[in-house]
Amino acid sequence: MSHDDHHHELPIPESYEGEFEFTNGKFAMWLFLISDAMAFIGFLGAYMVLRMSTGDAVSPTPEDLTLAWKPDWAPELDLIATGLNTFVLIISSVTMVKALAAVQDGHPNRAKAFLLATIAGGTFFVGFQVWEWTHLMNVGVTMSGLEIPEFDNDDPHHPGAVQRVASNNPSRTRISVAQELFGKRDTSAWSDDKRDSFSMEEYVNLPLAVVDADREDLRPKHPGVVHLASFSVPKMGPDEAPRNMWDLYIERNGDEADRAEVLKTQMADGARVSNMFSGTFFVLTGFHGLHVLIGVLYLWVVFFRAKRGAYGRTNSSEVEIVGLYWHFVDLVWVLLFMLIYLI
Amino acid sequence: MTEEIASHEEHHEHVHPPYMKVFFVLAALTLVELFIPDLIGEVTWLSVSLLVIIAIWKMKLIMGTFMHLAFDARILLAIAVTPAVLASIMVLALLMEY
Repeated sequence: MSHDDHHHELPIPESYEGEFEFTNGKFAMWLFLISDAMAFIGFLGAYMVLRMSTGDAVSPTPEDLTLAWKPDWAPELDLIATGLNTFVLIISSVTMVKALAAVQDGHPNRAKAFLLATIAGGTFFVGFQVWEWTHLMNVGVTMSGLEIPEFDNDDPHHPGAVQRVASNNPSRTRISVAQELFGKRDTSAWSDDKRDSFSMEEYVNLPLAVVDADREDLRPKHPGVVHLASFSVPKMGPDEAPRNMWDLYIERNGDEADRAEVLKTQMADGARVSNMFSGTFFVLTGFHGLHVLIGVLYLWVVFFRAKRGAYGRTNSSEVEIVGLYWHFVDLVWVLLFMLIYLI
Repeated sequence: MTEEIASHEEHHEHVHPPYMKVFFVLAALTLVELFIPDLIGEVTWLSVSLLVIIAIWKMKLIMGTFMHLAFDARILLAIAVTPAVLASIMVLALLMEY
């Protein structure tokens, strides 16, 4: 800092010659940004591993459903709407640099207007993301997984209907799915009924079974949630290994036809499966959205300081520093948008 | 030399990087990106390579012009590129794994 005395007339010099070419604040922001970048890179690495190890299982079997990246029946992301939102973020990056340029040129009012425009862009971006998240949750995409769509609860002949439990019958799994979904019911009312298949609706309308207080395993652990365990079939005989529901379906129907259709129909409406795509989607866009939100608050602080006349031709460093943060958020979105929406 | 530049700046507007030009290039690249999935159809090495190249191009523009790395001290550029180098090593390692 021995050169400081040559520049003492400038409180925070805009630029330096020689070894002093940036302010301490700018240097510190860059250090923060690279550490933040490493956090994002960690998330992106996890995303890559999960995505490459799952592959595009379009019509997965129930067994590998949770290992599928994104089943073909999963709701689609709206590429065009998010593309427009990406434009908004790019525009807010331009208004940010324009705000800095206005400060450097000595136009405080123009600078404040551009700062407000940047804040508006950031707010719009976060607002769109709130809308997008809400929309996805409404169609059954949440951080915990996907909702399995299209199940006709009223049809007793539907493949997903609850079948009478016979000790050697693969359809036993269906009643265990029903139990997992809606709790164990008292099926004694069906004993006089001659039919051998009942709809899920009929099952739900049965009274809840009186479960022994110490038979915790008979209670639904997570009503409404189908776990992989639900698909395992009890041993058929003493020497037989447990098999999965899909094998049994093939065995009975001898048909590879449409795995996705089978999957859809085998489970009740509202059933959920855990899914890598939806989990990583909310983590990545959420972590980025949080950055945008913090950026908007940070920009408000800079805006109010600008309003108090804190910045000028020779003192624009703080505006440049908030700009660095803001462009970094844009930079990360370039990567996220490509990885999540375009690939 | 230092005084010459300082007095120069007092009488004239600050010389700014070509912000608007970069904005239009970014917007155009984003538009191209949006068409790639539809144009190529499924995810292939070609579409992924194109998208990665465009993304790196966009990031270079943002860092160089908006974040002033093209005009700032080299040490800031070195700091900024460090995570990119580490990320590249990670991505290469992961691609070799799968």
